Amino acid sequence: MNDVLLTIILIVIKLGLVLGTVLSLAAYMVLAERKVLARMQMRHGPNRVGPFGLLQPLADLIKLLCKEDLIPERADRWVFMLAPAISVGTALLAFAVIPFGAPLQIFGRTIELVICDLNIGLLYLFALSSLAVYGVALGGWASQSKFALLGGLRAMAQMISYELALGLAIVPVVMASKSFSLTAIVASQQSLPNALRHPLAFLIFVIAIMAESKRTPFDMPEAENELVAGYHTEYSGMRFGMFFVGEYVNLIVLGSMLTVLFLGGWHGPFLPSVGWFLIKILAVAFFFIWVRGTVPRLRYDQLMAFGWKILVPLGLLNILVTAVWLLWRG
Amino acid sequence: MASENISTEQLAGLDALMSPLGWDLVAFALYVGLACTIVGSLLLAARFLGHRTRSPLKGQPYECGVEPSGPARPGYPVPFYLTAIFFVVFDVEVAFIASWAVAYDLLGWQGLAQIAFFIITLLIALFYLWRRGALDWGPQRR
Repeated sequence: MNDVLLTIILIVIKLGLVLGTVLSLAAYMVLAERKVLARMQMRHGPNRVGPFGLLQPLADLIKLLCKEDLIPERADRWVFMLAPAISVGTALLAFAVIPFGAPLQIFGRTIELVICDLNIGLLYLFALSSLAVYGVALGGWASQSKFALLGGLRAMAQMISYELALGLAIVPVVMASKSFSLTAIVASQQSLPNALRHPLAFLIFVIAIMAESKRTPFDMPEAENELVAGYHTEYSGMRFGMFFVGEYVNLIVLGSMLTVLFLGGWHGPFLPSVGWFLIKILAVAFFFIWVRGTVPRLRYDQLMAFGWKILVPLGLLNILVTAVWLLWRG
Repeated sequence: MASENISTEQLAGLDALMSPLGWDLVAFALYVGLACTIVGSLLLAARFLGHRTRSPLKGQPYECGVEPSGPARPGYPVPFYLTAIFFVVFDVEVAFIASWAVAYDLLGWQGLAQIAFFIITLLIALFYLWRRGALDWGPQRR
């Protein structure tokens, strides 16, 4: 029975490490975003709590936990209370299939650095990102507030539209690896990352995940100057914080998706594989923050037109051309 | 996979049960449990920490300090509804395309011809919607 016990202990340690890393990375992503944005706007950003403001996430957590949990009088109470959980839950669950390192040898056994190597990992990720729409949509709907409803509607329409482009952009990746398993996709990129093999799909994917995460230049759902805060206008305290945590965990998940599908996953010279994986995620996150600090917000009709009239036809044509090319080459 | 090292005389039954994917599923179930616990405890913390007072003004939806007027759920623009319908149609088709992509090399040129017919039909449908103005937001130009 010792072997079984050891296996379970190893699994639990792995889970603890993954969840701990993801959550603390999400917390520090908030700080990093504030710091980097501040620097881009010639400010200093948070620097009062701890050295360089490094304890700021902790202070924010305590503040959010102690704040009053307001529920508007006419709100749909249960839906209102549970909607943030969908947002966080789907983001956290998505990490279950992402391979974050090369297999490791400990105690004479091989440990795969992925929680669950589902053979339909990619479809699982897409299912979860579709479910994530519910958190936002229900949160906006249950608030019984015009701003929240409008923000929720906008977020919903935007997320499902760009999910289409996202789905079309991954088809060439699936063709390259002939598998939905993320581990197999990473393995297929040992010599050349997919970003170089399928540059157009890569471009579509990057734009689509930016829209999917509702970040500038696609942040109409939370456009402050027209909608107050969009779907989380009525939220306060830790429930508001949960939407925030969900958003930043989702940022990490999308960064990992980009890394796994297009940037070669954990492959890389010299450094250990987990190190490469982290570096790539952080680089993607920095790119997102950089874009947020640089690009102005689009108009909503422009956003939808861009998604439906450019990205979707382009994605479809890209699939056809890629298929012809791959079959031609044999 | 870890279960390869489990000695067979010890755990013949369990070993059969715990094929490599079996252990993966155990890990997955544990992960789901852990994630749900975290989310649940956050929800409970939101419920029980922090003071709460009630007042009629606090219960009102926030509309920049102006008293809310009219229904909170006014009719919303039709394009949102159309977008949802188109999404259902097109997303199902993406699923078809993805299932072809896994085995594109086995299906060969014949499979490609069939999926190309499908994709081109899809493109024609998209251009039809475009021409009809179903993808336009705001007032029509014509």
